[in-house]
Parts: sequence; structure tokens; C-alpha cells
Amino acid sequence: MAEKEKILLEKLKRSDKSAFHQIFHDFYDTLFRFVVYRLRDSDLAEDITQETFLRVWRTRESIKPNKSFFSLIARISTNLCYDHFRHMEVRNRHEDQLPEFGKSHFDDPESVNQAAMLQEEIQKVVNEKLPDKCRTIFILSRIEGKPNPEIAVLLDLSVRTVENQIYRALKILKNNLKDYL
Amino acid sequence: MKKLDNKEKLIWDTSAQMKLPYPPDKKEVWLRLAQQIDILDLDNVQNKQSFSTKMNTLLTLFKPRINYAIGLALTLFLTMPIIYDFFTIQSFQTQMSERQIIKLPDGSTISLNSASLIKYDQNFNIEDRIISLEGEAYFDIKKSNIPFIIETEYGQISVLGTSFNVRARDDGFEVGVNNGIVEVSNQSSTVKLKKGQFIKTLSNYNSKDITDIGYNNYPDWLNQKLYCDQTPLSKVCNEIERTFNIKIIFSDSSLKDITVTGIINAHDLETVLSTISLLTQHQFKLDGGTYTII
Repeated sequence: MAEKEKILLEKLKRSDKSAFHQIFHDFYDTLFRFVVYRLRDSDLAEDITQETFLRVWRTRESIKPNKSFFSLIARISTNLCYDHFRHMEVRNRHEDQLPEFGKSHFDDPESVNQAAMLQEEIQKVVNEKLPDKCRTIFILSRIEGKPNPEIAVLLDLSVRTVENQIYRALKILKNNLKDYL
Repeated sequence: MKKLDNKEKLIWDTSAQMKLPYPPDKKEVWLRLAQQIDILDLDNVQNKQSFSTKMNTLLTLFKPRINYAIGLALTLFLTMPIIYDFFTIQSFQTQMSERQIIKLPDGSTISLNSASLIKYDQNFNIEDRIISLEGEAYFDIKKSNIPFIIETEYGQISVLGTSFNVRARDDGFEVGVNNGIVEVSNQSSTVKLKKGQFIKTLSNYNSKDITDIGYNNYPDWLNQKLYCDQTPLSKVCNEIERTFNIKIIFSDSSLKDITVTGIINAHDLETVLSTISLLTQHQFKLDGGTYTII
């Protein structure tokens, strides 16, 4: 997989559009879920995922085929998400009456579902508290359900690193979720 | 992997159960992406061209012509006010023996007599209703909260909604009102004219100068008449010159001071000249396109 990825990236670097199509095909779904987990808005996630690939094409000449491609697009999309949040923050400053995302869920005790609530809180902590690398690995592992060795190849890391990062994520989550456990 | 405690196990399991929306149709997304890439590449190609080749050719083209460029810039700078006027000022001008009816943006109508000029700018009916007049015109002004102001070299006339005639020619300033109230003013004086009133003055407006319009069908020029009341022949002839685009000269300058009184039918030149001959006992002689009073 890593070898195939490297060859495709070399081709992409030379503006090979069919190689780019292949890369798009291989990474799109994973990246989309990665983004949607962060944004909880599938339309927005679609936009940001598409914009991420567009940026890859625009900066294709500076791609380093030895480095993990998923790390690259995870970073680009994360930056785009931050841009989006910053934009939203500016907007919200002027529209204080807008309901905070996810609040309504807690307003109605009837609909409170213990598991759903915990899921929501986990998502919040993952998005807000985990360091970038740690978050990427955690999402790939838990949300994508990818086995650790696969994550290791995808991100060009050792399996040990992946394991450590997942454990680290769990510890951070546990500390932040005391009230819900 | 290290052994997880209960809480960690719960987080581990719960986080994996998270339901996420399905990714959109990859084929569709790719089509859109491919389209964007094409646009991007096209822009890049054009930009590169314009930066390397185009810029160079443009520079070499323009360098020897820097003098022309400076000249052009200077000309542009000097003609700026004229160009600005051209785009922001609306003007209507009539030549000799020409008349024009102008519909203004506010619905008012102006009948412009011969050899006259009106101008207004793009703010007309937005910020104000100001027009300037040289010559003679009859105004039928639509009622509005914005005062309608006519600026002439003799002073200004302001109204809200009336019909009246203004004559601001070299030989004098006259305002006559057919309907409503008109205020005529300059820096030093102001008079108000009511329906049927008339003022003829040069500079200082005094209510003593206000007279009644002595006849129906005012103003004369709109009704193909020439109204004369102790009017000097010179002024009458000026009016005829403008109306019919002819040239009249006096064989003796003393003839200019002869006064004319009466309402002359001004449908055609022939009738006017013969009537004036009758009233003044002086003949007109046509000589190479010019009429001479003898």
C-alpha cells in the first residue's frame, strides 16, 4: 500500500490527473468521515473535503511522496475546519441569539439517551482537547475501525506509536469525561 | 496494547458506535472536483502568459511612448471637469427657430423656446430639483415636496408645483405665472408672484414691479403669438430672429427705439413682418437672406 501510494504521489507531483483520480478514490471516504466527525455537518464536510483535494492539486508540485499522504490531507482539512470555526466565531459574536450547537439535546430530558450523550461528549473532547496527531489516530481507529497496523502504514508511523497515541487519547478522554462516566 | 480499565473500555466501545453520515457519491464529487481543477489550470496558464510574455510585450510597446502617456494623462486631467460634466450633467439646447418639449424625471414638462439651454445633474429629483436656464422656457411643474429651483443669470425661481414662463435673455428677465405661486430671488431681494402676475426686471426685485399678465394665452411664444406692450422694436426683432432663424438689421439705429404694441400672429414669418410694417410704418427689405428695416 505504501509503495503504491508513493508511486501515485510521484505521478501526481508531475500533474498526472489519472493518478490524482486514483488517490481521490482511495482517500475520499476516509477523509470525509474524518471531517464530518469534526464538523457534524455533512454538507459542510463535503465542501471541506473537496476543498482539501483541490488544495492538494494546487500545491501538487511541493508534495513529498515519502511522507504520509493522509497526514497531509488530515492537516489541510483540519486547517480548513479551523478557518471555518474562526469564521463562525466572528459571525456568532454578532448573532448571540443563535443556539449553541448541541444544546437542544440537553434541554429535553425525555430524549436524553445515555449512550448518545456520551458519544456526543466524546466527540466534543476529541475535537477540542486532543492534539492533532492523537486525534487523527483516534478517529481512524475508532470511527473508521481501521486496525492499528493499517493506521501505521497510512500515517507512516510505527505500530507502537499508534498504540501509544490511542492510549493517550483514551486517558485524555477519561479525564475530561469524569462527569459522564 | 495496554490493559484498559472499565471507563476506558466504555469510551473505547462507545466511540466506535458513533453513527456518521454516509459519504456522498464519489463519482459526482470527482466530476465537480475535476471541473474545478480544469478552471484552476486554465487560470494558471493565462496568468503565467500574462506575467511572462504579455508583460514583456506590453513594456516594450509602451516604453518609447512614455511621452505620449504623460501627454495623455495631462490631457485627461485637464479635461476631467468636462468629462465629468458629460457623464453627470443632462442638457438640452435649442437652436434658432427650434423648439423642444422636455419631460423631466419628476414628471414636469419644459417647453424650451428657440436658442435656449437647460441643464440639470444626475441628482435631479433625488436630492433636489435644480435646473439652470439660459433663454426662455415655459415650465409645468409636478407637485412635490422637493422645491423646484430654476437658476438663471438674473436670480433664481423656486416653486413647489405650478406652471409659469421664464425669460432670461440678454435683453431682460421676465417671469409670468399661470398657476400657483412662484418665488423669485437673488442675493438681495425676493418677490412672490401669484397666478396671473408678471414681473420684468433686471436685478432688484420689488413688489411694485409686479403687474398683471395683460392677455390670455400667456406665454405668447407657446401660442404662436408675439405680445408687444410698448416693446422696443429691437427686442421684437430679436424675438423674430430667434423664432424664425433669420437676420434683421436696422438701416438706422434710431429705428431700434420705436415701440410696438399689440398681439401679433406669429404663425409664419410673412404675417409677422407685414403686421410689424403696418404698426411701425417701416418696410422690410430682403437682401441675400438678410432683412433690413428701412
